[in-house]
Amino acid sequence: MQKSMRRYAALFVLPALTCFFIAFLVPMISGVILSFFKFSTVLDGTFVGWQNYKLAFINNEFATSLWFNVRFTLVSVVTINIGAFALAMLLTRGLKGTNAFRTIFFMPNLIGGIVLGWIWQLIINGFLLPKGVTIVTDPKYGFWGLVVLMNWQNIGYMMVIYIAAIQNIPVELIEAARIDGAGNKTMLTSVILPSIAPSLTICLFLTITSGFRLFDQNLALTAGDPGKQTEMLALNIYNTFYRRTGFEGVGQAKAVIFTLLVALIALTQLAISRSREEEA
Amino acid sequence: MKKTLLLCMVALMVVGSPLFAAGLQETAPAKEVYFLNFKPEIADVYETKIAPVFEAETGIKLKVVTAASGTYATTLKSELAKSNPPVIFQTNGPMGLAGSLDYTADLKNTNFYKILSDKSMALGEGDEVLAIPYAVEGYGIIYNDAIMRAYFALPNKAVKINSADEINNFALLKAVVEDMQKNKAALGIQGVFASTSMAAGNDWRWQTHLVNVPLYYELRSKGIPFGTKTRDFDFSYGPQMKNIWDLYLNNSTTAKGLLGAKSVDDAMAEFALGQAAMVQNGNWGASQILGVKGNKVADSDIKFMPIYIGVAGEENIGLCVGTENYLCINKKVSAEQQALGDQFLTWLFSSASGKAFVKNDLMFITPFNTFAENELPTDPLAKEVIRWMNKSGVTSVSWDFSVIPSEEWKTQFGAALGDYINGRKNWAEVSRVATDVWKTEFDLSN
Repeated sequence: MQKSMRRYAALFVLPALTCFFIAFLVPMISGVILSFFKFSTVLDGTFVGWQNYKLAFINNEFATSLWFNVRFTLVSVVTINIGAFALAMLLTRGLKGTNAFRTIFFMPNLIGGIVLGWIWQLIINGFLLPKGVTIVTDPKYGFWGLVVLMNWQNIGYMMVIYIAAIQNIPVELIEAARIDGAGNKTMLTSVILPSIAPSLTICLFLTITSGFRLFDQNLALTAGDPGKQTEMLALNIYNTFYRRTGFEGVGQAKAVIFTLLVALIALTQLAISRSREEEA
Repeated sequence: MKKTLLLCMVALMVVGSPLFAAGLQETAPAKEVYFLNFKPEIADVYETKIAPVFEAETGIKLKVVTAASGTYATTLKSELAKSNPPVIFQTNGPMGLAGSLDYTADLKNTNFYKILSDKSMALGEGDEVLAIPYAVEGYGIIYNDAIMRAYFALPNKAVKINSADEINNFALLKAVVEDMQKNKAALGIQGVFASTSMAAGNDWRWQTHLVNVPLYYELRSKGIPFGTKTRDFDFSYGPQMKNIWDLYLNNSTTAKGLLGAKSVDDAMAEFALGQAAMVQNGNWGASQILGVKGNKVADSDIKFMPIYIGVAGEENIGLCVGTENYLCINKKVSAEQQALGDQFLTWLFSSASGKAFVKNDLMFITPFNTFAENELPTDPLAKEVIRWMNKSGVTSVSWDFSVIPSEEWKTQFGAALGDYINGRKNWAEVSRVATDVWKTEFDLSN
């Protein structure tokens, strides 16, 4: 049995490997290669060396997007995780209707980003109308609009992860802590938080990367307006690639930089959180 | 065991191959012309009216794909890379052509080129003819003459003139507009000008069309002929552009803070519903006025006036007339397909049935010698454009925006205009964006 499984392993892996190869590996490698070419369609181009990478920083546009994106990610990571954790605490106390609430809070996650963007654009513009402004009048409205949208969409998802973690804390541990005289605050900081550290790592990882990769919500809510001031990295790359004639390669170069950056940030965060987990 | 493995692999290939083969077979259905259409507003005409008639008359199938508004360059890029690429595609002028030189066939020997009346209008490189214009268009300020007549009949009007025809410079326009705004309740309008649309992708009426007017004056005063690229743009007629820009903003149907959410469609609807008396747009907007449900403007009341910005001698200028619509044939498809493309275009612009579509449904003012006087379009705006083009003593403003160095310039200038509306930039800063970005973009593209 073992032997024949080994023999057929290659065959069974083949479909998945083919998909991985066609849909992931090939585009990624050709993407990196294309970032060194000037091209208008992906099948023919001329080699230009590092030129595209230089042009990526020709004006402050990319840096502005990056800074906006960093601020946005910082704020939304904090608010999403605090919100999700608070909800998870509330919904693990055996209150009436807990399951219904969990479902309701999780639901926004099932709606696509573009649809969410449009819905929130209507809501926010409705609120701003009496002031005689819209979400694209000032970048600060766009910023907070995106934060609200991101929270609304992601809190439910993170909440589910936190709930699972909280429910996994052994009852004996909590009882023992109570008997030892732990108050609510000590309970939270010394028992619950250390016990859910692995989930915290996952939630931070998910929110940080999704903050940087945000695209459809950004496109539907503000489309980068006013004047690219609410344009995040992914949207900036898209606009460079598709909206500027002759800048396809530059968009590609930005995409490579973007990939490296997100990978770097995510890996650093993982390393830090993991080392903390082990300490705990 | 090895045998079984081999058998499995073979089975997999057999099952898989029809799938792949089906994908490849898409390439060449015998007689088909693939046309990648640029104008979404007339996509229906091509698909439901022209294609069936063309196929009935010639036996050639016409496949029309239309790119959504503002995504033509994107769509063209991905379609050209496919195994069955478009035969006919559109380009918007010298800048667009420069981006697709690898794909444009020489049209010198086509029948389509032979029917072009003024051969100098075609675009090319060296002695090759690469793009042929198919529609001449004009824009200016569209006004609703019924509202204008109501204004001039007011007992308390503050101006001396008695009809909109008499407006022939900025000072008069400003006096009339500001007085109309004061009397907007009596005139039953919400504002003189329809919304200055600034929503994403909707600011081309300003960052391309309006800025063309100061650009035209600057280039002519410097003696630079039409169509010549220049590295230096001083925006020397910027203060005049500010005149008209402020006039649009201060006498509008919509408060400044809300303009960021307004689209061109919104503005055209306001005009069609009689909520605004004027809107800056071109004759392509006719269908957006006539087609609006509840349209309150009579055909005979839709008129054009030139964009006056306060330059000496502007009494003698006309509408902005030119073209941004050129057709190219893809040189990377087979010679046979290229010939079919030529056949379709020639059919559309010279056969009786083709010309009827052009006149009645597409509503193009065409530059081809196959059209007689009575075959020009009859929609009110096209008629107005033709009237202004033929008016004696009036020079049309050419479409000098074709020398704007890049789309990026338009984007950044549009954003600066938006910042000006919301008070984040003053006019001097807007001017600086206009001139500085021009240089940067010129250097990048030359």
